[in-house]
Amino acid sequence: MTRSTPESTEPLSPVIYLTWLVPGIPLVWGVWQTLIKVSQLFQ
Amino acid sequence: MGILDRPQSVAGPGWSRWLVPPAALAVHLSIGQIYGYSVFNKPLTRLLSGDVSAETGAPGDWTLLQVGLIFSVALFFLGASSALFGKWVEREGPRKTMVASALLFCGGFFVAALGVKLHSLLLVIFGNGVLGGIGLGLGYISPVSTLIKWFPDRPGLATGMAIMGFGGGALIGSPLGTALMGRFAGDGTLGVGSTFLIMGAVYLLFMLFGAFLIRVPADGWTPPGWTPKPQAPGGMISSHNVLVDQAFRTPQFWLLFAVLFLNVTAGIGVLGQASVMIQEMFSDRVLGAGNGVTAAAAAGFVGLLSIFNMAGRFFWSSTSDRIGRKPTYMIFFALGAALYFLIPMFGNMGSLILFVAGFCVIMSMYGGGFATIPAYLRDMFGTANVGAIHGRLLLAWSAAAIVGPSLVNGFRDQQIASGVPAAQAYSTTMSIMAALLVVGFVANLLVRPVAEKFWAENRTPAPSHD
Repeated sequence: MTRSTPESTEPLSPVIYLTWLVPGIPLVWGVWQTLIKVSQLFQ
Repeated sequence: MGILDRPQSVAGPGWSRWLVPPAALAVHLSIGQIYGYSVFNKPLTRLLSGDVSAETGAPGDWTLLQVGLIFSVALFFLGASSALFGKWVEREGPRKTMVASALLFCGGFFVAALGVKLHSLLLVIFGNGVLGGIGLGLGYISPVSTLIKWFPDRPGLATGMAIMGFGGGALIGSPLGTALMGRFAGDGTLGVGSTFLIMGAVYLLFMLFGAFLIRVPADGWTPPGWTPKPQAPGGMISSHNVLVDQAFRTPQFWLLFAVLFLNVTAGIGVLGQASVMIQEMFSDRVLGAGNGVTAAAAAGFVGLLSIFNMAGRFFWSSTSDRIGRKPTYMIFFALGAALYFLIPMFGNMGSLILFVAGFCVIMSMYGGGFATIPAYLRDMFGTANVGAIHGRLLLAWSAAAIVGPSLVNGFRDQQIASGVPAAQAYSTTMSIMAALLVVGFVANLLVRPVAEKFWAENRTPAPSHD
């Protein structure tokens, strides 16, 4: 993989996916915890 | 030259702009914890008794009213610091301001932990309220102009991703705080101090990750293959910059101030009262014994509103890139006013589904209003000073945070005192919210491109005062 131009690290780079996991994992956990509470509304 | 200085954070060749939103998200997800701070309210009022389930605290325990000051002080300092330090943020760049934000916000947790240990409310207010609030203000505006510079083709999408994080921060902070307190509680302690220490440390690492990941684009950088559209005469997207102190003098600034203030006022009061409101409007007395909304179900409703508040930030701001900022706010105000008019009818019909759906849409537009405003400011005042101008505009948020809940609570109490059943006490409030949104519609309608006399190239730069 070449990284000499901006295009080369546009969305398809694994580095970008991994970096997105850092904020993504806690966010998904928070949404999941909230959805557990939300399920009470529909019981 | 320090590692935190702006020149050190200029991106080299090959740096992807898609690495910038996660950096901004890391900061916004952290500082958004303030909206989940209410999980500490009850434990903070039982520190001396050590029994969170007790009806009342021990003599000397703080009251809920006193503890509520922490959140109010934090929001006040958020607005004040973003207005005061906006130009400093623009000058020093995102990395230094994110580090300052991390040290203040997380340092605030450490000071508050000491306040819990010494049972000093002043120290907790100083920690989470004053230091934390300044950290909030710096952190909130620090990535805005950087994102807009990296995404000139999609500024709404870019700022929406970051500001979505502020909405999502409560979704993380609230269960995290509850889980940590559960872990550290025992032996007559509720675990609040230890939770503050751990949260301060975790958020510090998370925010520093964002600070060291962020980069500003090199001068003249544009996305590959993208060329700016030539400005149409009378078009709503300006290619000219306006200085911060000049922006303050334009009618556009104050119209957008009104737009943000009215949109937030209409949403924030309801958000604070959502749990009580749904329980009163859909109580056992209204729906029949056993069919009313329970406290647990109401908590679920609040959670659902938080998700829509967060998702709306991303959805509406990215939509605004396609349909334009002004039409986006037209939708907020027109649809919002219609829903506020209809929701009491949904309540009278006993339709919980329509009631919940209506508020979910309103909350998505409340969040969308926050997330779309930076791009609207960019369209009006250019990219160069948008962070500082945005900082000043956030005073509208602070003002709405006071006015919104006062309106909802004040009219509700007045209605109940005059003999109106609790289930119907919100009708007048909702009509007032609808009227506020109509005023917002007019303010947005009046927004026109900024006059040439305010363009930076037509003026001698004003001296900096900070």
